[in-house]
Amino acid sequence: MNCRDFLAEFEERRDALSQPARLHRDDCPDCEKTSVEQTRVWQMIDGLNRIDAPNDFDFRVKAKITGAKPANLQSRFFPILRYVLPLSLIVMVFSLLAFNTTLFFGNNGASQVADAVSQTPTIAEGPLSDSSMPNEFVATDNSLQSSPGENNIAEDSNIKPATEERETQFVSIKSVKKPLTESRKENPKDNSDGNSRVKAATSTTILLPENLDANKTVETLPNAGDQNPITDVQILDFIGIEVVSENTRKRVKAVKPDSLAERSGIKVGDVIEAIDGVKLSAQPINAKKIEVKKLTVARDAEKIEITLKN
Amino acid sequence: MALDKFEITGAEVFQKTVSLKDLSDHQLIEATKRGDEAAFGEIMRRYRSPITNYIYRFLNDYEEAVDLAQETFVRVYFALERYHTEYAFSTYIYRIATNLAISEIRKRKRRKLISLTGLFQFAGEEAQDFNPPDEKTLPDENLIESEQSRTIAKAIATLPEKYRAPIVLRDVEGKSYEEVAQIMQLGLGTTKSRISRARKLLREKLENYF
Repeated sequence: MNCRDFLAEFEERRDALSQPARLHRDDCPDCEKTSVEQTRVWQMIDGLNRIDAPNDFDFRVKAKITGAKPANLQSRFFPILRYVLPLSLIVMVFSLLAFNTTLFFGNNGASQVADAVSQTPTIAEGPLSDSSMPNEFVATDNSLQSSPGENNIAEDSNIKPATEERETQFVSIKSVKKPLTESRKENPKDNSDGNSRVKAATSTTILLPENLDANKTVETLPNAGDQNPITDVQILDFIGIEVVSENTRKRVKAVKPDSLAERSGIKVGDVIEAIDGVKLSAQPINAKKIEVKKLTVARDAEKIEITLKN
Repeated sequence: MALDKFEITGAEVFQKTVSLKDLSDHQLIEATKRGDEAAFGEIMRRYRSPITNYIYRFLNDYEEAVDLAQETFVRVYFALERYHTEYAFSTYIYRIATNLAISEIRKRKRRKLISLTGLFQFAGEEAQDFNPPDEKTLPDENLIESEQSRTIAKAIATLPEKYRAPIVLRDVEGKSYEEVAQIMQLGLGTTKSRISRARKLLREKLENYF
């Protein structure tokens, strides 16, 4: 037996050494010294008093357990709360946004889009319909399939207060402008867009002078009893005038051939200032009936009044 | 409902006490899981002193040892659902106590107390943990130790962390090598090696007593 084997056996068995181990210890001074010293260490360790727990040990443990229960529950649920709370908050915010968007487009859509159309030059640059505008207007209903931008929003006839319309105007214009412009770029010669803007206000009755051709007079529409806002640009479009916005002014860009405007003497370059004495405004008009008899026009630095005639 | 139905007679209490003492650790754990607080009381009665003694020999600080022993039982209580009976309960509870004691040692190290010893450390000397001895007298007169006992306790408490737990478990608590290996979650060879190294370090520390 060598020293290594002796130490291994000595550390495991302490005093219960085998005969070869005992012989090696007697022959090897180093191993004997080690065994003596280690035995002394063990004796010292064995002489250590056993330390008992205090008398109130159980009571204090139970108190800690009772006190730790809420914290334990909290730590158990904390990972759930950590993720569920922010997620539910995000879902709530998105739901609120979706609800508001639906509310705005559902109730104010028609008026906001009409307002946006009247203020957006790119839209006003579109060609007018070749067909007879009044007749087209009579023949149409509320289905606005030709204009994707207005399609989703023109059906509702509820009228919101003007303050609400102003607040939501920017949002409505931005959301509607793109599809309208894109549709024009794709089909620049498509006449249906020009009509569709008029169709957006189908529930309002526009009365023209009594001496006009009966076929070109709009009297009754399918839902004429409702009130839908209509803009001045749409009224001008209806009588055959296509205008372009110059700051706050509306300059005649084109006059539709054989239209009421052309027969009445409206010319390209005229600036339309008022309809029946009422100045043009970007705000939509909420009225069941709008009577159009004369236009106030600025032409060559002169202000003239043109009475519509057949 | 008659209250006498809930009264427990002295014989029943005696029977219950006797039966708890006869139950194994695993049976007591199962009873505790079912809501029997008395069963957990019996577990505490069995292990409170060994665990307190083990941690005390580990840290050489009685108040801290009692506090950590109590924390050990609190953790055992809240982890009962996760306890598997593949290991002996004693192994399980000693492992929790060891982990708590090691955490406490590392916490002390983070307090930078070791830098105080570094001031007086000579070049080439191995850095030692700073373990201030607990100078407070123990609450029980029976616990008053001799000078020799305080010396060996201090020598154990100043051993490096990885050697301290194995030698306390083996030579103080009398655990087998296999049990020590399971508690420390080490291989048997590594455990024997560490215990042997710890004994050698102790002999070197106590050479003045030979």
